[in-house]
Amino acid sequence: MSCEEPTTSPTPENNITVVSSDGKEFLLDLKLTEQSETLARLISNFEYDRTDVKKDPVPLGNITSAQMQKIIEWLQHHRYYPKWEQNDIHYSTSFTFETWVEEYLNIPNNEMFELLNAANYLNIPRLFSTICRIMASRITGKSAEQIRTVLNIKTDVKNDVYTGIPIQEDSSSSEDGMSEISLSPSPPPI
Amino acid sequence: MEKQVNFNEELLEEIRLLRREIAESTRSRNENSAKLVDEFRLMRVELNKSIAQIGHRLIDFMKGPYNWNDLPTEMKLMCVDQLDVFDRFQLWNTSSSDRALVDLQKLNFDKIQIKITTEGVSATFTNMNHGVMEYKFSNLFIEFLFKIGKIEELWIDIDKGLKNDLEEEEEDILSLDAIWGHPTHIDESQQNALNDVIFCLGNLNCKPRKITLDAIGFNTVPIDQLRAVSSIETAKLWQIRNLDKVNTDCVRKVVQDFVYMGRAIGTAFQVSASDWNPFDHFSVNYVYEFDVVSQSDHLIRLRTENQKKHVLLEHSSGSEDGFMETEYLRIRVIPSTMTESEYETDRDWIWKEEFEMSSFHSSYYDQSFDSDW
Repeated sequence: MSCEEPTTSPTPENNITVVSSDGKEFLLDLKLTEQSETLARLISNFEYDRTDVKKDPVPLGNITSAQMQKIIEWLQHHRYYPKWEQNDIHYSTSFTFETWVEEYLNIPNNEMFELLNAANYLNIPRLFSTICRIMASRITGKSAEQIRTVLNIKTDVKNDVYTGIPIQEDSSSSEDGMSEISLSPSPPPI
Repeated sequence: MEKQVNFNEELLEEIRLLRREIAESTRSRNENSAKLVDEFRLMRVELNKSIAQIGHRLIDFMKGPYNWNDLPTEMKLMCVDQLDVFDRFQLWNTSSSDRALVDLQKLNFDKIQIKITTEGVSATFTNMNHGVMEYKFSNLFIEFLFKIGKIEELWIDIDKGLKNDLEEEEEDILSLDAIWGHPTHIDESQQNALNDVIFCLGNLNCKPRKITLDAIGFNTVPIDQLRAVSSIETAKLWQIRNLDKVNTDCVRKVVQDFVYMGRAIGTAFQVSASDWNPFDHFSVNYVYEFDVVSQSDHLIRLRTENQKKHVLLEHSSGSEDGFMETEYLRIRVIPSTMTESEYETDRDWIWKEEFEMSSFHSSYYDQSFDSDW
């Protein structure tokens, strides 16, 4: 699914400021916030969509600036997409995604989980559902041992499913190429 | 005197000026201190904000990489919801916490067929992503299926394999039997496998509408084990296909359950047999043990412990393949108020059809995951 994006220039009246947990402020177009049920409800409750109402910055204590940046990227890409419907979930293990989505979510699992949490907090169903499907695509077709490696799961199941051979309890496994980069902010300078 | 007055007035004027100056300086000092207080307040707010931000960043930094195990259960379930049976089984085997997680997410199955072969146990079912699937796995997979499945129909078949080696001169009789499709008896490993399946059946979390056991080739149908399984006890219909004459006691025991154990109205048990008549056998050998309301060539009505319920035994016969005559017996719990005209004796084909398993492919498109979203 792709949409043609008409060009509009954001005006100060149709923006709100959100503040991430690490204090960074982001100017957000009200049109973008429609995709987040949490923000949309907040804007509606405080009547921030009215031009004569003073808009205080919205603190998002659970979302870091890196995650916010990533989310804004998502919101901007899906700005002109039709409203997400629950029926839009199609069960299929073919797990095909838009190229843009594949590139966007080509991130390590830990970042993906953080983003999933953020999408859940802001209630962005399209992003939430897409991340779930991407996670499922990383699990599908893999053996229990491979899943343990991918998800960094510490096993307490004693024997292999097929062979009955005791499983080595090794938790040091980690995903290739992950854990180097993180959406968590860098430590503050002390 | 006049000089004195002037001096006094000048003095008063000076005092007034002085007072004004003092008042003005006090006012400006007050204003300045109010400004200072405001500034201090603002600084305090900013400072608190900065402390909170630094705190957040420190917490984020210290909590380390976010793992699968750190995700809330509801979110993990959303991911599990996207997986098919096989992937769920693999995830189920990773750790005990993930096993509990996968157990929470149920899957609907119209029909599951468990086949017990000489090579092991296999399960056939419709899978929405892959169509009809047949998995040959350990009992653990069967246990898994029973745990996570909401199963409508469950078929347990023993793939006995016909002994059709005509070159075995020494076993002429068996070979001839094989030509006519007569089975040989199942081996010990299959009997053990069946026992394992029945054990797994005890852990079945759902209540299937129908449970069928194909008893062809059974040395002894483990009827007592089966009767003890709660899912069989609660199934709307359970049936034994191809019941061998050596297992005649099965019918009597199930009738005892229906009469004395208080089954729900509508609950039914059915039997099909090809070389003997279970209805006739019951009416000749066991009917005297029960309180008979009425009896005819094809119907027996029994009283139960509960005055509101009766048990009806119905006989029918027919030919499945147009070749061998099959005898059918249905036992069901009916309300004691039911009259003979309501027996539907002319509609026996409906319940006889229950013995035939429909194609897996026909239910493929109806298969849907148990999901609310």
